[in-house]
Amino acid sequence: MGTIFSDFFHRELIFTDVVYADREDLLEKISRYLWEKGFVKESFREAILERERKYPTGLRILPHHVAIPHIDPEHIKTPFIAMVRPKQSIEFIEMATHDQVIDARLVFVLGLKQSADQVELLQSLIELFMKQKVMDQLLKEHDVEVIMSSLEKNLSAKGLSV
Amino acid sequence: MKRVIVACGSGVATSQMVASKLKNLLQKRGIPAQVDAVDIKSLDRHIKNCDVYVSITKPDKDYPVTVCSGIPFLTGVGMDAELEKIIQALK
Repeated sequence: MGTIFSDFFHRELIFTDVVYADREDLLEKISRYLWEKGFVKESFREAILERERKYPTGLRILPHHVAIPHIDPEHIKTPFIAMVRPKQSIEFIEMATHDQVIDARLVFVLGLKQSADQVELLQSLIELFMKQKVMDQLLKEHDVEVIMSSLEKNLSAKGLSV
Repeated sequence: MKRVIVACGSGVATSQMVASKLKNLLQKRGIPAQVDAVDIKSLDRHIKNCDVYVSITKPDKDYPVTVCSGIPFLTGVGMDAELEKIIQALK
């Protein structure tokens, strides 16, 4: 059984042009929303903040820096991938460092369970990060439907079942 | 068979991505190796039976095996050089 795009991506989990004070504000607000919608346990909020402090998830990647906050599966109720596009880029610490700052233009919050099924999806997500055209579009587009179909198209290119 | 382990904080997202990418790259180059994603909490247990440790967090101590960075496999930056390093360690 392959990974199904619609198992992870949801219209209600695409956030565009939201104003956040900083990284912690972003993670707090997203956590609260995810909890209200039943995607995560209440413990998710504190755990993801702590995790980001300890093992930061900023990626210095071209064409645009991104961050991929994520956490142990025990805090996840329903697997999801949320796309957050802050109005202004948000500072994240670069992965595998303690002090290198990157300006993340897009944040993908990964809510994953331990599963071999998701590997292809994750790999195509990373490949998507390196596609200039797609990333430019994700940074500009206002229509959630268009964002969803762009994600679906680009993440399904490698034979994922849709 | 030689064994590569990839560890991130949770053993689900990042380490799985890097492990999968690395597995494909090694396969393409015809290098036989087992690549596993592991949870950083169980790193000490796994490090004893692996040849290369691909790290996605900042390593805070020395390990008795070759340690490479997993970040290039996420960002594409410096990937070829890091892959070469891993291949050399597997020979």
